[in-house]
Amino acid sequence: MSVEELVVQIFNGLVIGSTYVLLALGVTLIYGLLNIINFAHGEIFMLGAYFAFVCVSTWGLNYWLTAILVMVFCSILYVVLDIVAFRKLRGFELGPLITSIGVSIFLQNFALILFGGDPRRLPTPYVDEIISYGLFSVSVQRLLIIPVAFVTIVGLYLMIEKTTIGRAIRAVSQDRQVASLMGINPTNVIIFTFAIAGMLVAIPSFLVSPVFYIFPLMGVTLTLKAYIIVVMGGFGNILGTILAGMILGITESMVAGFGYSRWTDTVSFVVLVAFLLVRPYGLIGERREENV
Amino acid sequence: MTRLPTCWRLAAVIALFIAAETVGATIDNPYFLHLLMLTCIYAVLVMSHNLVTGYVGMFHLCHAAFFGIGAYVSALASVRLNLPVPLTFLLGALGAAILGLAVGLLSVRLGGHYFAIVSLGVGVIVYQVLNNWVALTSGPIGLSSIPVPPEIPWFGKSVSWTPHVFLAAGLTFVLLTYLVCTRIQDSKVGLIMSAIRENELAAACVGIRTHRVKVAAFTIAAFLAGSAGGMYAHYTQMLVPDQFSFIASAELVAMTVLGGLGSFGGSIVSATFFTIAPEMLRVAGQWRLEAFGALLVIVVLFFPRGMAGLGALIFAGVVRLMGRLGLGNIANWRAGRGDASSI
Repeated sequence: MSVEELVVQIFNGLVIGSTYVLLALGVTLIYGLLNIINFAHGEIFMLGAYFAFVCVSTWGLNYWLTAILVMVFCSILYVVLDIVAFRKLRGFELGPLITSIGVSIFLQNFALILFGGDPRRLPTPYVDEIISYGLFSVSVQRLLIIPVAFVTIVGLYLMIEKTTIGRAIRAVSQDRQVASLMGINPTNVIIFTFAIAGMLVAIPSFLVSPVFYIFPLMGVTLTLKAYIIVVMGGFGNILGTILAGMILGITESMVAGFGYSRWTDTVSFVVLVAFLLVRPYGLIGERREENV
Repeated sequence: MTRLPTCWRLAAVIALFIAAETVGATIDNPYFLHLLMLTCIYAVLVMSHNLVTGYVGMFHLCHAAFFGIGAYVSALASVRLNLPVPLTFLLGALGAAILGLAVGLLSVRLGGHYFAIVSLGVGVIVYQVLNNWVALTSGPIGLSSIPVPPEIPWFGKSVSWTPHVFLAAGLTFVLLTYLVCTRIQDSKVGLIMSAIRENELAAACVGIRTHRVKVAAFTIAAFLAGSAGGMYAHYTQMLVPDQFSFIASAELVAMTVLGGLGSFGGSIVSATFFTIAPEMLRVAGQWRLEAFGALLVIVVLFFPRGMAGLGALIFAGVVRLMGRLGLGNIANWRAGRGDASSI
């Protein structure tokens, strides 16, 4: 592998990694708040991508207007998901996991019936715009995801650390009851967090669906990848999540670059299992003991 | 929860088994026979899944992987190594059990969610290996012309494996699995298992070696799933990796939950329902998976004890009615063992 190829693969890894990080941040937020594992995460992404496709291709809307609409759409979808499938099961560990599997099967087949199984591609003005530098050339669409992911992550961090609503989210994730004693309405905070998670899913869904294909079962792998990253980074650890996402993205694109693209998912899962066995508390997390 | 005492339950189960065998022997429709055979295989899978997920409370998502390992090991050993089928069947089940033991030993110390995620990873790895290791497994094209088991000697004659014989064997297999699972449930180990499900920390505090029990349960379940896989391989005589993907594991979870977590009878009913009902709903076409997903959500939200809960409700009603009618002493079956099916 030449140096140029290596650079291209690292760049591709950063593109994939940014997507993964944004997906995983939504998962982490919800897990931190409610301790639930949500397998319908990727399906929200998938529906967001299809919604973007409908906006651009059928209704002929502007790409950036579509972006805003997709963000609103995914937020609403996530809040509805919470109300339908999770709200009644607060406090149960596995109930929400099982309902989310049900929702995920439902949404996959819904998309299959509505859009058919053929892969679609979101047309945007930036796919064909290529920036070249020597041997290195890349489409603007691919380039776009990295700065957008960066801005989103910084924004999320500032929101959680510096604003009142961020403080409320942190309070509710630490102890819902005590938080409600302090005058925070946990229901509203949870709805707000789900809406934020929806937005975090929406951003990669309209940014990368022009580059990769949209198909009804795309969500399954993405959910699994999001969980790999969340586990590798340590549940609830934003810095760890970013690091893990980038490592996984680059690893995958390297594996693909060496010509083993069919095995990328296997490698990711081997990495996951190895990680859980060696460092179950995550890349840079600290070990926590269980209290009796 | 009202329950029949063990000897009555056993008698009822054996009577049901004999009835099923008789009905099975009289069916001529090959399609229906095939459905019944699939039901048997799924019943074994769902029961073994229930033993771990419902009864011990270790939610896992790689049951289809054990099924797949059992099927592929058995099929490959007979196709590539020309080993006799009964031996390959055993090898498949052992292969799955070894995988289960390894996964259990490595990951049992992780808490509930982490265990679910590791098992998910294992499931995906197994599926990908089956799908991508083309030299060994023929990849997505699948393995075909897997031999049927050799003819069995039967009072001087030899019986070949017709669909009827397969069905009889399948039903026996279901009976054996049911007996194994309920035997575990009724034993001291079963009590330990429900203690772990209710509160693992408390169980550990009273001196139960929870990890050991969990690994053992996981291995047994993997063994049963692997033997179901071997059965499936030699029955259908062809295997495709897609049958053992994450989706298949998720469907097994769905069947377990709908049957009632911790209830093995419920598992059999739910396996039957979900193998036969979709065929009846052929007109519904693609909408049946849709209904499957929706049903899963509705059941967890509103009927957390699944079909078993419904059955128990009806049974309790019948008992109460019998009490009203002056058949009180028959209605006095109360082997209160607590509620075995909470999520």
